[in-house]
Amino acid sequence: MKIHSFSAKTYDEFKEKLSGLISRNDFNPTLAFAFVSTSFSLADIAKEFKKNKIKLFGETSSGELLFNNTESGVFDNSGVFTLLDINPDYFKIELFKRRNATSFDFGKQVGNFIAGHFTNPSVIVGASGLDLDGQRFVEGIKDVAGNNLIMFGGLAGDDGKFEETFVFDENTVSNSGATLIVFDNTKIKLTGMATSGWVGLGMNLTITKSDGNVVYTIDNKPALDVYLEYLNINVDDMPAIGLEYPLLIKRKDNIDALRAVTGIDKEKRSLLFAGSVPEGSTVMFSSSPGFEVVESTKSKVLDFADKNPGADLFLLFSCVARHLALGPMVEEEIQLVIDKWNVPIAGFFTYGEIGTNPGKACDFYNQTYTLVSIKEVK
Amino acid sequence: MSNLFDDLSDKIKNINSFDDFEQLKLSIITDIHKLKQRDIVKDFQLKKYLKDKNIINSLLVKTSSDLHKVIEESRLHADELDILLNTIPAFVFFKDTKYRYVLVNKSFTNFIDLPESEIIGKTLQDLTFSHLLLSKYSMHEKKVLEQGVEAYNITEKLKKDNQTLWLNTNLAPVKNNQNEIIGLVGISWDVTSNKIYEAELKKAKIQAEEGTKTKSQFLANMSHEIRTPLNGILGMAQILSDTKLTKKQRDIVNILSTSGENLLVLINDILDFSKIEAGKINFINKDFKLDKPIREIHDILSRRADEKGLLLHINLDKNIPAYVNGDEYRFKQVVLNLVNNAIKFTEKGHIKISVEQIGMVEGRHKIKVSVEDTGIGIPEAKKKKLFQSFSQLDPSSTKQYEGTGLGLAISKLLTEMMGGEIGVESVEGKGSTFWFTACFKKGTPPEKVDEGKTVERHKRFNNRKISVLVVEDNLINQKISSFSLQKAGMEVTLANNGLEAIELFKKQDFDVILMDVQMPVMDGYDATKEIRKIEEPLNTHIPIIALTANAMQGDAEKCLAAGMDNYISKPFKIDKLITILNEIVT
Repeated sequence: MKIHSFSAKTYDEFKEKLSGLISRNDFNPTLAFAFVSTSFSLADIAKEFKKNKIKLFGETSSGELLFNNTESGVFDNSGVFTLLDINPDYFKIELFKRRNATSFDFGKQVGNFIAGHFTNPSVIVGASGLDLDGQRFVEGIKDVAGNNLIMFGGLAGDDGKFEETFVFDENTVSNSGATLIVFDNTKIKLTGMATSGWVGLGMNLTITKSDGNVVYTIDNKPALDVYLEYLNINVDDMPAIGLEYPLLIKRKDNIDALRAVTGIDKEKRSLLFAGSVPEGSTVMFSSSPGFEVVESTKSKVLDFADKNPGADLFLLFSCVARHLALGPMVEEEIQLVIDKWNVPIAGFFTYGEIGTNPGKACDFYNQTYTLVSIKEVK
Repeated sequence: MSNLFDDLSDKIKNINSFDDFEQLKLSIITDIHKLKQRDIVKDFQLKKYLKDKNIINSLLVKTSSDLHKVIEESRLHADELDILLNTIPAFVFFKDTKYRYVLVNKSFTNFIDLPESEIIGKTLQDLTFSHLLLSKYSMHEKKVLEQGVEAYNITEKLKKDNQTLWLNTNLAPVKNNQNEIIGLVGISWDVTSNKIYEAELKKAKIQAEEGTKTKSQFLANMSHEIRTPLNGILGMAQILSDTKLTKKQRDIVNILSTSGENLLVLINDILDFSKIEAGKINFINKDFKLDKPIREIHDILSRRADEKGLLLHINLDKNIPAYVNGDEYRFKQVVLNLVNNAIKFTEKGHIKISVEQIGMVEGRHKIKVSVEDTGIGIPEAKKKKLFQSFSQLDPSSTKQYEGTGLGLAISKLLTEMMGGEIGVESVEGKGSTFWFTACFKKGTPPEKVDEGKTVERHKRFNNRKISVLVVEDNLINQKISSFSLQKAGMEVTLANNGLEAIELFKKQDFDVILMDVQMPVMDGYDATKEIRKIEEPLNTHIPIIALTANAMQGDAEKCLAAGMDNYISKPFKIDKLITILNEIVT
């Protein structure tokens, strides 16, 4: 499997670099990943791929990253493109529009597609729409495709504006949809990890009124006001601060979940979260424990490297909050991958991650560093 | 990294001494670039730290205020609990799994008169403040801690300041979130006053019971006292009626006899009723042939029915068990009462006694006896009152139909004791059907007796003159007995008391002894015991029949226990005595 990747600041730069790659004789890309800022014209990008008969998996981002032999860095308002010369029989790609489906039902629709392809599928998935409940979406997928599904991905971003996110392929751009690639896991093997490192702070609070991923009251006080009061911030700081200081939910299954704020309603004083926050659940505020979190991630990546020595490509779905919290240091935990495997790593900063830790069912996360290795089985 | 700035300063300081300036320039530019990078990181870190500091500071302040509130609330809550614990008028304690006190309330410390500090961490054994039966009480605590079950109403007796106290204790296991037992909680009350009250109640109950006993003893004595002269009157009337009399004289004697007999029935009824009411009747359950008492009643009463021109017949259902286990006498008493009533209140027509089984109740046969008559009948409104004591339908009817009015009340009580009910269906002027039910266990027939032998003995007994020793202190009774017995062809010898009887027994041979029970000098029980002692080495056995005036329950057993063979209640009918004699002597 041949892979080439590049970043672009502008559409022209993108077009130029793409043409350069396509004109090469030794490279016939069949599939591409595009993680791009909403400042780009997505339709124009799609057109280019369609023109070149390359299947496209596209998501908008809130910061992009690319580390390969020629360039390495974390970018803003850019696009990161990865082209793969891969046997088209090894994968199926599709884009679904959500329309009015609930997050769970939409997940089931996606799950049906997965269940219909390959006896041993593994999935890269992306979704758009700030009101999507990532947790219910993943639960819907698993409801059809089973708990053992290997799946990675991320919710699209919009450069930290929290207005409108998109997924797209070579034909369609959707602000409320999902795009996915189903790989034949016997040919293309996906393995990965998801790690957060965020820690709970303060008192236990109770979600007194919520509906799915909309929280109305915490301890019987308006949810938005609780955030403003406890963190001593202005309403304009939200939802960004709510992304960096998410709620830690003490779930019944004993696996704590971090839920980042992705939207606010100033009228209703409610908060929109990336995933479900069940009424009655016990929550607390959380924060990165400082820059040490980078060291914790690095040690987990090293551990993962020991167990998974070879890879053709890495994708990274890293929470936008990590970008906000770690600033320039976020590069450190990404740099390690190329240092260790010497293969390209492309990715973006998300509004929510989907990952599968070894031996566990896939799940929806916030605040994580979700890494997936793509490797052709030979 | 940290030396980067020093390195750069050195390079700049020594800028003139370097040979390759271009190389140095590149190195300096790289250092400056690195410094800039570091500055960016430091700048970000600073901003981030400031942001974190502000946010976490606020969170900390808010959290500590929340925490303070929670602590304050829990302190208030603790205060409330403390008040509850220390004002509750009972001794409350917590113990760990090693039986050591972890917490006790004020009532507890006051009670055992030790400061809390000297109780906590100690076991009950360590405290030794009481003379508790430790082993027994500790067993309960052990059970609570080992099995995790509650223990209620453990009553302990203990001594404190030379006073006996009783404590009542409830214990419950204390479990943690993992459902493991981590100790026990106990609550004890001083129940000494209850205990005293209880003892007083017990005493009062005994007194009440003794009162009842005294009452029945009084009744027994009374009946004895009344029946003895009555016996005389009836006996004499009987003797008189056997002599030559004018018609007028005979009428008077008949009235005398009838009045006397009515009085006797009255006394027996009153005695019976009070015995039942006092709960003094013990049923003597034996296997008996169910139709036997019915047939006997038929035999006894058909003559009376005949006299009134009534037809008395019995109808036994095929399904009734042949033998049942119960008190035959009491069963018979109820049937007899109903049939007697039927005859009494019926002027023409018939009386039918039916016996059937109407079901099984807890393995027992439920038998229904109905007595149907064609008598005066009973108005609906009066049916209920019928079974109450001292009740006859019409006060005026007592004149026409003699009776105590106790018969049905007694029957009702007896029926209830047999696990049944009593009732009546009636159409006024057409007749009544009185019925009752009784539950009996199935009985087994007795082992077959050799009928031939009995008959033979019976005959032998009939063929010669029987010699009877009558032991009786009452002159009138002596006369009646000897008269009756002689009239039946027996030889009578009289003794005035037990002692005389023994002397006579030693000198003469008798076929049977009739023994009064209550006598001066020596009573019937002692005399019987003596006679049996004399007989023992000789291996003989003379039949002794007790003559009891007091028909109290227990007297029969007392007679049999003293060694008598049977008993007959005074005043006896000569026929009955002869029947018993026949049974015994054979």
